Amino acid sequence: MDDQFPTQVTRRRFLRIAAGTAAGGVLTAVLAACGGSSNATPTVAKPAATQGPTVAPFATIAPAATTAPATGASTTTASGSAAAPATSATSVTGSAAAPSTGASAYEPKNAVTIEYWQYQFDAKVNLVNKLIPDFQKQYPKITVKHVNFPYADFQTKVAAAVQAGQGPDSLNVYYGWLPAYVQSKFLQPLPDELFSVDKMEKNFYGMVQAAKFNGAYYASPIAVRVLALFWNKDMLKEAGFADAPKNWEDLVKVAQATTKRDASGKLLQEGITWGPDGQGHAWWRECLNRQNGLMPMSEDRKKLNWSDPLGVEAFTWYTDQVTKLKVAEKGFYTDDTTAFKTGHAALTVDGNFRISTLKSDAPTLNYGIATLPEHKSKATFASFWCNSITRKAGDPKGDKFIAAALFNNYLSSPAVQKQWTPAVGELPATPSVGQEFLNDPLYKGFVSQLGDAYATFYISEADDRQAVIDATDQVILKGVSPADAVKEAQGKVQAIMDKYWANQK
Amino acid sequence: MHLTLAKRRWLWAYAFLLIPLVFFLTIRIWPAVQAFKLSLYDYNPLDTEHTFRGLGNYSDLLHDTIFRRALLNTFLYVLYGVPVGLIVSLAIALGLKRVNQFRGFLRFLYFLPYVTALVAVSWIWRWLYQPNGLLNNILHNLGFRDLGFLGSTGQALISVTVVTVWYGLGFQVIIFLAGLEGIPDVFYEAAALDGATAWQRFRFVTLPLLNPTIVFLAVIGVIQSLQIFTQICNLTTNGGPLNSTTSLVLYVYQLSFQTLPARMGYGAAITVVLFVMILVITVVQLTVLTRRYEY
Repeated sequence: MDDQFPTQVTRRRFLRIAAGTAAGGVLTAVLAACGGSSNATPTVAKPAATQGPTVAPFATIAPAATTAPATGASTTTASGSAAAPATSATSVTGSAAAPSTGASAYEPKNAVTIEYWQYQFDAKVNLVNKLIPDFQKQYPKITVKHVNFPYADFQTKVAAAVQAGQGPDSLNVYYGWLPAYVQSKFLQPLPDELFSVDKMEKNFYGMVQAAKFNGAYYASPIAVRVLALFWNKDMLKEAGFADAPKNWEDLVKVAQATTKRDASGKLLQEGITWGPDGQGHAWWRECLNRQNGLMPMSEDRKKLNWSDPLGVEAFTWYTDQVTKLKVAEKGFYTDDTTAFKTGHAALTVDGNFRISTLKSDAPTLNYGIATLPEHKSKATFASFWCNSITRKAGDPKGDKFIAAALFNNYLSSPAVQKQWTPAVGELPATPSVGQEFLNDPLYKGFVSQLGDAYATFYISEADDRQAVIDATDQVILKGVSPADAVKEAQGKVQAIMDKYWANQK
Repeated sequence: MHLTLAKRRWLWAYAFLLIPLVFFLTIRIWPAVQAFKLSLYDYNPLDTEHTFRGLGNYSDLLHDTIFRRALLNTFLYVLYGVPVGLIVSLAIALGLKRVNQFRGFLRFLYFLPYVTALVAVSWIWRWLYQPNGLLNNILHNLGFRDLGFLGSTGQALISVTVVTVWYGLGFQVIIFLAGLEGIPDVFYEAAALDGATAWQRFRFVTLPLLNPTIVFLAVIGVIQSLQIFTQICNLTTNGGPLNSTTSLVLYVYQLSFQTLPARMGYGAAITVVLFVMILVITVVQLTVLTRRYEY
């Protein structure tokens, strides 16, 4: 090493300087990354395609051309929000708020800033950004910081923030995640002043009970989503059907008539899509079972009833579509949504959130929306995102908590709901507002089912869904009997439920 | 303090090494130690308290059918993927060495997959593997039956392995080319003079002298295959039909970020198991495969 001393010194010198600068650069970068705030930076990334709960955080929606319905000053009763509805159809001008007469002492004492976290879904984010100034005008002491992140990062973002002692004061969360969040004591019960049990049950559809734990409500919805039957009008007309099927038997007839294969038996067009990994699992779990006369879960939410003969019957009817009737095929055109929107399937069961996708990806598709085909009774699956208050908001008497509660209340008000539906495509959570959409051709099929809509009590939505998907795969790929497959799926999910209730103190 | 020249140079060396070392310890080693600690708890990041379980997570692993499946799958990924990848890339490298025209362009072509984002690669392959996708169309036109590919419990893992091998080819070919260049022509000439056939030249000159390259690629390949995640997640979303493609890392991801309540402690236990596996396999590989050839 010593022999080439002179040349090595110059090269070494250069290397030393380079190493020093590089190390310095790296060190500063590390310090900057660690020292910066760990808040989720607002992203404009389009969320990935659904593989999470029954959500469709797809690309931007063009806000519906329908104008917001005529405004009637429908302020919610009792204290709190007095968001007078905007008079113009599209803009959210700061309306002169008429504070309710029971003018709440329920207000923060000092100026306070709260963080509201919502996953990135362009229509929702844009609307909330428009609403925040209006809210801040009504409550000048409150400043709302709107933080967004990609849907796929939801769990990681929240977990990381909580560990760092940061995070949201008000969190927009999927209702299906509430049981786990509530059990961890991550969320606080909503205050009685604004969200008493009576008020919640009077102002919202029955499905909101999914947010009720230990006699109190932990989150309030703005809008809900339900499943309906999307049907391709051209394909049905070609097969001789003027309208969508209304019950199970008709559905089979329509599907069989619209299935097309080529000479070698290869599927060209399927009668109905096959999507247990999309909405299919919810269709069987909450809708087909109930339509067949079976409650999928006991009233106390502790026991599953899937392996009841009625449940097995419903499951057999479902899987027969692929195995016996051959009107659906696994993986056909990748997934159920793609098959329907590219015009390769006549029927599909999907949620109203799919409307925005169809509008942007298949604007010329001639489709209709009908209520889910019934059997012995009617039922559809409902889900919703709702706004909660986290433990970071602190003491229920503190300013942050009060501010978060007021913001949630504002968001859930009928005035906001009326704007939410045309902009986002979700249905109003309040019956009186929902009625106003009963004649809208796009939403009719959904709104009319809201009275028969049920939200599944999920503890681990991902595992629940996977159990049902695995059960269908066992029947389709492995020839396992539907009864055995359902029993195994029930066993898996029941174990999760048992663990949850054992931890519940 | 009087320092000799040697000592001073030694000090400078370690001073400069210290900075990246501190960085490395903080970013890599300390979290790994924390993961060991985490594996002893029942850890849900949303909870305020976490129960200590000692080796409870590890004993749970013994009864977990999904873990066993993931473990088997991971081994299969290594077993199928690494040897095939090495053989194919060596063949390509040997071929590329023979080629005279368009050499640079061909090398560029082979390296291209490796430079492309693995996520993008996975999604295109997923489209190719569709039941009515390009591959099935070709099979159909040739008169064969459609294959299930990613939708079949038996074929899904192999389908994913094909993508992995295809993707890694570029890197392995380049490294093999470099290794081949390092073999002096003298040996080939001498062997040819002694009457060795092409196969004998390959077996007695090329392969032994490529040994360091083969060991390097084998070790890297095995480690990467044991940690396989991205392509599985993008090709078969949640581990394929009935967990036929789930790998250990994918299972850890599901446990920590999809299951509610999150089971990060349990996931950490699996990462510790994976760590031990990788360590043992790598040490075994290095001792068994490494051979010195002096010619």
